[in-house]
Amino acid sequence: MTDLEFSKLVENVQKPGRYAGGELNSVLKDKQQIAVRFAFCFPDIYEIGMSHLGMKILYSLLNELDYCWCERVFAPFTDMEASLRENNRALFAIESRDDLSEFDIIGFTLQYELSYTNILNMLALGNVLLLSADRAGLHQLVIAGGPCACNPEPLCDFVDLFVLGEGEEVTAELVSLYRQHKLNASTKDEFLAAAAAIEGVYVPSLYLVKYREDFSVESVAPRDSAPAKVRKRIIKNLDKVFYPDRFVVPYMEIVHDRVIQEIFRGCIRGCRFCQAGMIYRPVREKNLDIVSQQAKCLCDTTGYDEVSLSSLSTSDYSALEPLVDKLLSWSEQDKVSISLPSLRIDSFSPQLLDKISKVRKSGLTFAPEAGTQRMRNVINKNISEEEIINTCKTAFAGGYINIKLYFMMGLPYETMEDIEGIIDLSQRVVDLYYQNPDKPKGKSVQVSISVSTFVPKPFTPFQWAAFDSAESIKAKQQHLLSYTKSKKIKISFSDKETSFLEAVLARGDRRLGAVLLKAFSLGCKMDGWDEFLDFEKWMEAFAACGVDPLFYLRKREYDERLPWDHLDYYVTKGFLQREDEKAAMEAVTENCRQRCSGCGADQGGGCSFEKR
Amino acid sequence: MRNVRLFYQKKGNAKYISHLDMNRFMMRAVKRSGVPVWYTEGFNPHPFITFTMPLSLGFETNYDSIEFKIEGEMTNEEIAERFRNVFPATMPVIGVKDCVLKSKELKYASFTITLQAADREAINAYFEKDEIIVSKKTKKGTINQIDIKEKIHNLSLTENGALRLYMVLPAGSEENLNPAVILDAMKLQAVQFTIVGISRNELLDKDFNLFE
Repeated sequence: MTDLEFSKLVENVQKPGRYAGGELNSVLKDKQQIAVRFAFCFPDIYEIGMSHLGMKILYSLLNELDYCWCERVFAPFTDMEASLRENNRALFAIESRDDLSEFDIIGFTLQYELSYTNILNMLALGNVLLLSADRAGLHQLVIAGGPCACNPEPLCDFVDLFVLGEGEEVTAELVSLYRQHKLNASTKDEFLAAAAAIEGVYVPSLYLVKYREDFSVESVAPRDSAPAKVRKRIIKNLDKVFYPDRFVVPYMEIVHDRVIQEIFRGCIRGCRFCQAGMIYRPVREKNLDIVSQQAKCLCDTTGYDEVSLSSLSTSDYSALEPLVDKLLSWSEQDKVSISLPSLRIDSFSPQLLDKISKVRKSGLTFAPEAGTQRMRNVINKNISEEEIINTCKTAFAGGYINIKLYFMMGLPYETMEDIEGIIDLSQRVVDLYYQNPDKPKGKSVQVSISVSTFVPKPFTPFQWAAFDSAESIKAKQQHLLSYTKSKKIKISFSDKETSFLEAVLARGDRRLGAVLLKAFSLGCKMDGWDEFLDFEKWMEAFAACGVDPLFYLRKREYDERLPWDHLDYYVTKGFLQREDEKAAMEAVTENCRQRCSGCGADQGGGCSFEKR
Repeated sequence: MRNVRLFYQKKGNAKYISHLDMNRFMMRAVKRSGVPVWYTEGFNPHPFITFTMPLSLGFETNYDSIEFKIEGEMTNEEIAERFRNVFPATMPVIGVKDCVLKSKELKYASFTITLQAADREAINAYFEKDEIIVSKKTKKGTINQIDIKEKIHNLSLTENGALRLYMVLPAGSEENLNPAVILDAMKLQAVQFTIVGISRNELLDKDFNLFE
């Protein structure tokens, strides 16, 4: 594409910076010298995709290989999609502006179930055939990884292979294998058979799924030498794993426009609703000196003036205060600020507050997740009401006036009392503000509560649970609103249709492939955006394919074969069942640091708390 | 502390960087350059930089500048070299000079507009009319119809493969005229053309001398 053609393409596009490229640290190579061209596709718009740490890691890692050129592709926003169609242009990669169809490997990251139609849309806009079976050659190999790959079954018709678990090692192995097979002019089948031998690679076409008359899974049979169970990959030593020394720095503002510095993987907590807390096990920490060095290096190469520490629960890093001190030893002089997201309520000390208050005082966000202690025991969110209150006390004393609290509804074993508990707790926080003698004059407190609908996810103790019915959710939401007395409490709910689709796709099976295709052909895309989600069309797609979405929302028995049972994320089914049974008894499980609960994640090695 | 101006160009891809994004880009570029630019002393210290004249999204430029204060010893050559090292190839650095004029002494900017599929006669006729009425948005958001005939200086139309329209327009804190406003008005008068590119060539003072 010439510059002139590009400029015509974006003439009436609102944010051409999304597609223009040329950012600091983006990688250009001579494509004549490249054996494997890799298109890293993020199925959402630029601002969101560019904020994603996994993409930054794999982009740098793949571009370190001299035979590989990894480029970026994002979902075009609606105005750009219209312009592509009007100008008869295919979706292209940002770096080379070559069409998506010219790539050897087209890799998608699966961050969110509602981005699935965007994957189909991007392939179609790139002139790539949607169905895996229709793409005969080794060229245009479509692969996918990321958290949703733990149940990739709805995407099996479209994706040639999935990468399970952490991508650093397995992606490099896969690309190297691809290079060999491309040189040898192998067939796609030969390559896929060889790829299936790599730990962490799941080739869905090598597994025959049989369903019973009631549509539950009867059996999953591997073909040829494919393993009966595919294990996710983990990185054993985070101190030695590849981490980028530079990030691509966008010109336009993106969602997380700063250095993101990973400090550990996994989570010690074991909240029973949380998929990330289960599938990223075991806990592995990065040494604080390495964290500090990497963060400093990234600031120097990007010019960013903010570092955000990244993990599932920042305050569970075993040496957080020493780490912050270490970072402050250079960051103050370099005029870099440090932000600590994902802080837990119980760890929020005045000292820590003082350190991070060098950053803007805007609002604070905490996630009690449930309104009553009983319910927090059910979900194993081990924080007490007193801890929540003490934290808010600290925050108010520190000058904060906006508090945001996250809750869920529709959790297993939930009653109306638990719903009322959400408001009771929020009201206590409001009252607390007015008890503070040092409260700022003339300013009023605002407690914003965000109540989302719980979606049961694979590989969690609640993977068997029912998704709450539409009537029940509606009743709970109405009760919550009528129970609220204070104007200082602002309530927002998650979109019920969004949660519904997420719940269907999260625990879906291969029969949903046809539904996805149909929904896409009816025009569904950008489903994660409330303004674009067309629920009617989705319902039309389910009806046209003869698939009842409610089938996927029901409670499942422990002995039912789940669509993802042939995938192994180390946490055992026995552990998950034990946890679900404890939930029913309102019994809590201690965190990994206190006592090993035998989840199975130590089997892969690297666990910081494995039984010694 | 002395006040300096950094002069640079913005070419090709760089034209898609909006003014707000340029501002953030400069903050990071200053940081990477290691040039001792004076920082604000507020809650979130940041390099104190002023853009001489914001540039519209989609425009290229041969001569753009930012102003800042320098703390400590560093020659203008060294400052220019350091920025050269951190700017992308699409933004070549021209040089660094001590501020000669004040920002408010900027009065004009010259533009070259490259057109395709253009009706040369109609364009000539358009500019030869006694008055040229365009719609201009005021700061309050209302739209005024104004005659800009007297505001266009040194107009010329040359043809060399593509048609090139050159003009000097008011620019600065007191009065400003964006060539896009004129092009929009021409379109409304059914003058045929396609815009290939718009470039702001130079920034000028009241005597049409280069703004330095």
